[in-house]
Amino acid sequence: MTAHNGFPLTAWATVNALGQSTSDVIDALRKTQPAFSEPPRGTGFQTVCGMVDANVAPLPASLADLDSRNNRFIAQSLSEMKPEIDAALERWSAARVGICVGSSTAAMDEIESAFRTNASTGKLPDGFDVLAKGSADGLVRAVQSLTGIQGPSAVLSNACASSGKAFASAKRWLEADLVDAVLVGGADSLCQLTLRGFRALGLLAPGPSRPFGLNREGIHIGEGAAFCLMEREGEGPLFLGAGETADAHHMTTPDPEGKGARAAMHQALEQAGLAPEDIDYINAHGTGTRFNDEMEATAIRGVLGDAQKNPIVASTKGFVGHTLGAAGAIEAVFVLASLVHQFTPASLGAHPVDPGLPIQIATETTQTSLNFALSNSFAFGGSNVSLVFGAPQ
Amino acid sequence: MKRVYIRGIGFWTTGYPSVTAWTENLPESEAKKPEASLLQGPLSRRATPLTRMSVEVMQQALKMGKADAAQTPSVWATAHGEHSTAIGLLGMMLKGEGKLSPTKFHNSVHNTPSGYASIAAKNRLPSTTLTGGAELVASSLFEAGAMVSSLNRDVVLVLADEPLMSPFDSPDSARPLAISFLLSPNPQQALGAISHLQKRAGQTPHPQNETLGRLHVSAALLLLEAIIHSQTGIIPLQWQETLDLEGWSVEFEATPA
Repeated sequence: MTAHNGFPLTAWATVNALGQSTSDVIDALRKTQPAFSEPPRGTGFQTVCGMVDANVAPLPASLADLDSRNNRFIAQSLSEMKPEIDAALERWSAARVGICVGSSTAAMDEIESAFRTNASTGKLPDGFDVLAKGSADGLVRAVQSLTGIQGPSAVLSNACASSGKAFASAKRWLEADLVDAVLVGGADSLCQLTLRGFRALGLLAPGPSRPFGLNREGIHIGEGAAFCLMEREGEGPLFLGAGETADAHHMTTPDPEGKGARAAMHQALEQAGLAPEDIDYINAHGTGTRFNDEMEATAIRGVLGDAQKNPIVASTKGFVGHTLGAAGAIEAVFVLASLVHQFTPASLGAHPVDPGLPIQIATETTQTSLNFALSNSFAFGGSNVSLVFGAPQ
Repeated sequence: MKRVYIRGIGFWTTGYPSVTAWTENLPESEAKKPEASLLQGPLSRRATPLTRMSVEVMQQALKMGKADAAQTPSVWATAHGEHSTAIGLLGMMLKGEGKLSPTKFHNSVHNTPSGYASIAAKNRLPSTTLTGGAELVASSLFEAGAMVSSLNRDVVLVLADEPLMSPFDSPDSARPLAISFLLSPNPQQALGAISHLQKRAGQTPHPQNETLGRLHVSAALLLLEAIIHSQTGIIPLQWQETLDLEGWSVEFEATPA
C-alpha cells in the first residue's frame, strides 16, 4: 500500500535518564546502556527510577518565576532545536506556529515541596505561585517565552497518553489549516505522588521494569522531556497517522481483549495509508505490568493477523522507565532515531520473554532496513493513541 | 478556524444547576451536588466533584442537541484538574508511611472526567483533555473545532474547574463551575456559529464575574451568554486587564430567530 504524504518532522530533541543531549540519549539507546537511579530521598520503599541528572541547568534569570525541574527539562530540550524553531518562525510567522505539549503531572514536585513547607511552617514558600511553578500554565508560558511562538498553545493531559495525543492534535491543526507548524512534545518530572500512587495500585516494580519479560513485576518511573517540530513542508522523517480511542472499560485496568488498543492501531494505519505488513518496527507501550503487556501483545497480534511479515516489537521503557505524560514524545524521538539510523533498540529486560505472549519480542538491538514504524501509548481512563512514522524520503 | 455550529449548551455551579437557573437568576439551594445521571453504581459512588459536574454539563449539552453520549467524541478543559483529590493525596502523603488510596490516585488525573464518561456511556471515540492557564478556553475551542473538522461530526466540549484549595487558594476562585458546548459541522437546529478564533488587540476587557470569580474556565461565560441572548459579536475568551494587550477571541454569529 502507498503511504499518504504526512507532515515532516524537521527537528527533535529529548532529555531523559539516558542523557541531557539527544546524541547522548540515542548513543546510549544504540549501545544498550540503560540508566537507573535510586528513588528520591524520603521515598521509603524499594524501587528504581529513571531520573535526569540533577545538574540540569536552571531557566534564565528573566524566567525565574517559572523555574522548575520540569521546565528545566523543557528548556534543555528546546535549546537544541533553537535554529530550526527560529527558522520556522521566520518562514511561517510566529502567529502561525503552535505549541501542543503533553504532560500528566507537570511540576507536581514543586507543589509537593510547597505543601510540605506549609505543613511544617504554616505558610507557603515566599512568593510561591502555584500556577507559575506547579501547573500547566507555567509550562506553556515557559515554552512561549523560550521560543517566541505566538500561535495557539495547548497542554494535553490524558495521563500516560498525553504527549502521544499531542501528535494527533498537531496533525489535526495542520490539516485544518489553523497553523503551518507545531512544536509538539511532552514533559513530566518525577514526584512522590506518582511513585506512591503506582505503588498503591500494585504496579510499581522493586527494580528495573522488564517489559514483556516472563519475570516482569511492574513499572519503574522515569522523567524527561522531548519535542519535535512538525511542519507543513520540510525535510525529515514523516508523521503519517494517528489513531485515538477509548477502552470504555476501567480507569486503570486495560480491556484484556485490547479492543481499544487494536482500534487505535488500525486507525493510525488507515490514516497513514498503510497495511499492517508495511510496519517494520513497533515501539510498544510495553510498561512491564502483567496486564498491559498481555493486552498489548494480544492487540498487536490482532492487528497483524496472519500477515506473512511481522514487525520487530520492542519497548524502550526498560531504558528510561515509564516517563508518564512525556512517554509518547520521548518514544517518538526514539522512533525517529531508529528510522534515521536504521536500527531498532532492544526490549531491555524482556529476556526471558514471556512465552505466553502471542508475538515475538526483540531482546537485542537490530541493525535493519526500516521504512515505517508505529508507536503506542495507553493510559489511565482507557485512553489509547497509536502513531505512525515514516523514514525520511 | 472553519465555521463551527453550536447545537447544545450546559451549565452547572453550586446553587445554579442549569443554564436556565443561571441566566434567570433562580438559585436552587438544594443544588449542591450535580445529578450526572449517566454515572451509575460504582462510577457514581467514586466520582469526584469535578467529574460529576463535568459529566452533568456534558449530558445537558448532548440532550439539547439530541446527541448520543456513546457516539460523540469529546474535548475536556480544566486548568486545575482534579485539584481537591490531589490535595487530599498530598495530605495522605504526610501521614504515617505516606500510603495513598489507589482509587483517589486514579481519580487524580486530569482525564478522570473523560474516563468516567467514556466508561459510563461505553464511548470508544477520541477524547482529549486540555489543561493550561489564561489561554485554556481558546485552546480548547481550537482543539474541539479541529476535531469537528477532521472527524466531520459533533464534538462535545466540557470546561470545568474547582476553586483552588488551601493552602493554594486565592480569593479570585470563588466556586466550582462547569460549562459545555456541543459543537457541530451541521447548521441544522444550531443556536449559532463560531469562527475566526484568533488573537486580537484592543478587545474589550473580560470582566470578572462577581459570583464566579475568575477561574480560567469562566472566561467561557461570555460566549455562553452570547449564545443564550442570541448576541452576534466578537467574544473575548480570556481575562484581560487592559485594552492594549492581545488576547484570544472568537466571532459568534447568532442564528436568526
